Amino acid sequence: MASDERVELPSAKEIATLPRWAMVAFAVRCAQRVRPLLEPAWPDIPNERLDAVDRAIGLARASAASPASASEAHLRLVADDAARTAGWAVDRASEAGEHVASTAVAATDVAVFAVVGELDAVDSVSHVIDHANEAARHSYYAAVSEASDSVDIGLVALAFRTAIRRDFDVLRRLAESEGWTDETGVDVDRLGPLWPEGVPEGWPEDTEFERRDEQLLEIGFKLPPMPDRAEVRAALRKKLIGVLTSANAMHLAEGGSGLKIAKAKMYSGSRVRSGGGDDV
Amino acid sequence: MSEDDRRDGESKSAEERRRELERRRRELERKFEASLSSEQQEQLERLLDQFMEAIGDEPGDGLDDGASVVVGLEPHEPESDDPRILEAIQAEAAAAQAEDAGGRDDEGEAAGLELGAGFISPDASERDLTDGVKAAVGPLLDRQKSDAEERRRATGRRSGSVEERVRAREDLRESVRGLRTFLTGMWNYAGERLRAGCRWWDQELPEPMKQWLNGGMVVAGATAFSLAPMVSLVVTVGVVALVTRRRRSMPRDTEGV
Repeated sequence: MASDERVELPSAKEIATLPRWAMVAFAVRCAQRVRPLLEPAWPDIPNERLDAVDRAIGLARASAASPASASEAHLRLVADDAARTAGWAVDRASEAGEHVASTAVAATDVAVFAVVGELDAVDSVSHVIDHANEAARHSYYAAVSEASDSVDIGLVALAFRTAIRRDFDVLRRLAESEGWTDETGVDVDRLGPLWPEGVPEGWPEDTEFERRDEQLLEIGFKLPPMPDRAEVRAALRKKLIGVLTSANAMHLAEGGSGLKIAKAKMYSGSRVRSGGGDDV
Repeated sequence: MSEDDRRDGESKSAEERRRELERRRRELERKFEASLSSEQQEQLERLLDQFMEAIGDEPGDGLDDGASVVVGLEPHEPESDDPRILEAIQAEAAAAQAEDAGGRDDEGEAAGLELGAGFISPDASERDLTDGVKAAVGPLLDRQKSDAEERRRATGRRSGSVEERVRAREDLRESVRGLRTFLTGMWNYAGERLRAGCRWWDQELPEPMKQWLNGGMVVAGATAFSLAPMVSLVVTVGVVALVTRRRRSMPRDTEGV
């Protein structure tokens, strides 16, 4: 790995520079990275506890994307459930890895505070900062402590720091370039893969996606009744190629293998003139 | 004059009158057509076609069922690629459209027709453009892949730098906005042609021809012209990433949040 070994986790001061929902998004990413550690660390973890952690992460993610989308009753319900799970994780910490437990606590706390922030604005931002930072640090230590003896802990730790740092840097850049405020929702999906350089050796498999081989990106649009002229078709072709190549560029920039054309089809109603479409 | 001669004369007169009317109708048509350039004639024909389609009562009759294009992209190595990359691409495209929708009002000013939304009708025809699009775009995608592999060899990193990743997102958003703007422009152009047709009908079409059109085969089109609808334009550029996620990624309690 050619990452810079001096890469450091973002400090609380740095995280404080992010707008509020970017902080929550950052914390969600930390929680998502360590989520696969829970089952191997606690093979007998009850399903309802696992579900509670997932609900907490899911709620934080949904709240970050659409801050005002959840009902107050629903937020309170999930916040209470997440808080119970956090308490349970603390009780169990001596039996399982301490930092995995702490990660669960931090992840659920992030969700709780994301929720509390919705309900009670007082001090919510500073709470989110603290807990986003906790999530990052606990998940880092969990990564190090859970690495098996056969893997290079230093490399795992470096991969973890690098991935977290890059999330933070991308969020900060997007926040700057798009002028995010504390009210701006942040879609966590925009951050891309959790491990752009590949999953660290010895890390539990990310099982969030059932079938990896079923990946398809569809780009669809409706054509207006266009003049049947070569320059119009050429302009459309240029715009479409722009979308396809920029999607491919992003796939490659995120560490993917690149995209290829799987299919291209034109559907037209039976009464609509088709007009010169083969070379769209 | 016998009764038979009188009937023959009346019949001949009726036949003559019918021929005369037919001759005058054809002359009127010739004059009307001669008054239009070939481009105008073509435009008229298209406008009438569009109105006929737009005002149809039956499902599948309207412009809503116009041509749709779908291009599917798949990763070269899906087994090893993180599906979150496709989700990120989809999320960026959605963000670009959200910005666009928030910053501008493309809705047009009045109602009646809404172009651009709807479903493909069951009897829609399907044309496979895969080979053509592969030939046009495939080499460009391959070149991007080669360049990325070269960069990876040089840097030892699979993914781009933070700057490159942010720039890739900006480029994608820009290209989605560009396609959407282009399509919106074309829809506006189509709408403008319809409106021009309405003005032409009301102000420039010779009255005899208007009557002839009103009484003839294009009565539906004529009605549409006289109603002079303003066209509301809605353009959708959908980018859909299809990846199969486990249920736990969307816990039941957060669905619909």
